[in-house]
Amino acid sequence: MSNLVSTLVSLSVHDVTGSISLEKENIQGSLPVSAVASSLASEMQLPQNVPWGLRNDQTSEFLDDEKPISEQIESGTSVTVTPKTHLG
Amino acid sequence: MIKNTAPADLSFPGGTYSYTVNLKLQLHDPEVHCEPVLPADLIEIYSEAWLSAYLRKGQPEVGFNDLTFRLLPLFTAGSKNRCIKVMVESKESDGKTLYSPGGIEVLRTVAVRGAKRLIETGILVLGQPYYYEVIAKEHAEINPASDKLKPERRGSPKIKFTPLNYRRVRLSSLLSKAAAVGAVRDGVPIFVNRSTYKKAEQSARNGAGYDPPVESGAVVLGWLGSCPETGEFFVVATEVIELVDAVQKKSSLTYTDKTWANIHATLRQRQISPGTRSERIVGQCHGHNFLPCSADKECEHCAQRNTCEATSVFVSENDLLWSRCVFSRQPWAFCQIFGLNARGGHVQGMFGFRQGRLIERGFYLIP
Repeated sequence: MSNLVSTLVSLSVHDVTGSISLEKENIQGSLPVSAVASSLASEMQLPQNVPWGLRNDQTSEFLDDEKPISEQIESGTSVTVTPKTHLG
Repeated sequence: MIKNTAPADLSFPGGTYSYTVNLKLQLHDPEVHCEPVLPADLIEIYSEAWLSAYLRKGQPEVGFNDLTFRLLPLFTAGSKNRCIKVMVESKESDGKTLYSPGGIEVLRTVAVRGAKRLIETGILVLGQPYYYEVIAKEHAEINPASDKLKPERRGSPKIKFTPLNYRRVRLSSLLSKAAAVGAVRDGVPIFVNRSTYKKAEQSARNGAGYDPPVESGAVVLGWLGSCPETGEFFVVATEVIELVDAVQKKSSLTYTDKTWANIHATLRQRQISPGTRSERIVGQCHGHNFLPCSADKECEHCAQRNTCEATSVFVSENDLLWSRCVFSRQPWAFCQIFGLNARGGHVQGMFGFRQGRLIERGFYLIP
């Protein structure tokens, strides 16, 4: 666990339409993906009424919201911040 | 829009304002909740000001991030903090300033967020009506040490915006062969190829064939245009990408990671070809493949009416929220819904952003 806490992660982040991007450094690797996604969405001034997830652009898969981010991707990875909501 | 000067009865200092949306259970009762307005809540309002003041005035080269925005209050008579209207101030780096007025309903989504909190705590019951008012607090001067009090510009300075890719095409060349569908007077002109429209409808109505029927849909691709003659900005929809692996239910449609992966892969592939290089996602369509709620009650005037106005074509709160999330800073984007009327007939509606909401609007079909 102490190893996780000391891990810092950098990410290349963009929104789902590719119109907004952000290079984010020094993210605490122990943080769950849901917290990181929410923080990134806030920094990109995306709506806060909705949960956000991160999609790994290399694998195209969503990261597990509950698990620490450093357990799931390497630093420098490109991710898409994606709304976890649905059309109705 | 008022150019270069604030209205005569307004005197705006160099400071800025913070806002809350106060919720009441009865109109004249004290508020039961104060929901703060966050920077992200203002993005749609600022985007629409950018669209009307720059993009639609022949200045598509002015980017959203080239502007500094402030939301300014117009107070109710006799009040020093309760807003009757608001006004967006857009300022370019050279100091040129434009003002775009709006109603307090632009902050309706904040009220909805506050209402959800009240429902969660049991103060408000789902479906119970409530009232809201917008309260402004003035900060006399900009505090350089506080980002929160600076006029909103582009969020974090680390955010980068992809330059707007648009074509210079004469609007008249499109209008000469276009057929209007619905009221097209307001809003950015949207042109849809007939073949694209057909594919969109097929994708949206595909879910009607399931037992029970489910929602289905597609994203719509197209390009943005600026008319060198009129300065008008417009959208041309050229293709759809049907949703792969989406979770389709009776009254919801969820994009999965595979859905997004397919959309992005298809779009990237199309952007390689010279003919479709400027394509981007310009909207989405989906089917409300269910009868309207009133369909089980026979309308007493049904036999006398040529057309049935009870339909399942509407924008749900989730449709609006999804669109705000996906099309942030893209005020030209649209949501097209294909549904049914109470007689089971096919109906559709196109919706575009206006005052932070998705409002029904018309479009043009082109060959």
